[in-house]
Amino acid sequence: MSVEMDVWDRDLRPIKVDKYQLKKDALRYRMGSVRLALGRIVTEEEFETDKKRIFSLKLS
Amino acid sequence: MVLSFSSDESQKIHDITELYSYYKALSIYAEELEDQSFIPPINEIKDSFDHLMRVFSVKCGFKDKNGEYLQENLDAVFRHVYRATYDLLDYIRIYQKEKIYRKMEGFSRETIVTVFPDYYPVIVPEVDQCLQEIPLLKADKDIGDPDIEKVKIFVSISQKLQEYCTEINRKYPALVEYQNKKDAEERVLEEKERHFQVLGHTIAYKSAIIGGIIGSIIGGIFVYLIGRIWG
Repeated sequence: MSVEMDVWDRDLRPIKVDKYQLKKDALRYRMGSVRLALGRIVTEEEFETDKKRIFSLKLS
Repeated sequence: MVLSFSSDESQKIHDITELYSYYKALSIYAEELEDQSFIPPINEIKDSFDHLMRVFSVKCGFKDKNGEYLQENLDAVFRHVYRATYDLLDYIRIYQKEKIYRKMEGFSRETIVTVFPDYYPVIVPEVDQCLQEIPLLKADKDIGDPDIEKVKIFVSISQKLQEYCTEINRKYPALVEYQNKKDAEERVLEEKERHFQVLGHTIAYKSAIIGGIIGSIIGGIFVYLIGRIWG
């Protein structure tokens, strides 16, 4: 099979995960990563929310 | 087939490999820290691999491009691994702080000062400093001039925090034991205080009853005597 010449310079799309959907349809992901199937991932949006919350914590 | 690289290309591949070694160590620690996978650095590594394969596409003869193209793509590989490393440093410092917070909450100041004298003067200021020193490059995708030396400094700060987390884990049983002992002593004190309060109330109550009875008797006698005098 030949490969299109310009395929090399095309950018890949970022991985975007809907954690809620992932947990809801966990059975569909049972052949893949266990961590993914369990929804044990942190997305960029979740991290930004966590970051604000954790920054405001005052260490006892 | 033997692939050959120019001196500049070889140097860049060396730098990428060195940077990746930091990324990998941080990645393993980050997954152990929260038992979760963080998506943004995975995206960066995916993109860096794509740029690396563009280099190999030329080296393996799938594509015809010049040395400038190779250098640009090797730079892009470095930049993506660099961003992935900063994403992880950012992630680690945040969750390290939360881990320390969760571990230490519930202990009184007295317990911490007695059992863990280094906590307030050394560890808390270092954690705060670390949160400020590792810059928020993730939001700023323009990383300017990537510098592996900066990465080394931030990795060493992160390692220091890892050591503090280990130290806190080591002290944790002693903190729990001391706090339980103090709580028990406080409960005994409270119990004694309550006992004295109950005793005070009982005495006051009984005194009131006795006082009432005595008052009634005296009153009765008084009325009787008045009756006799007037009678």
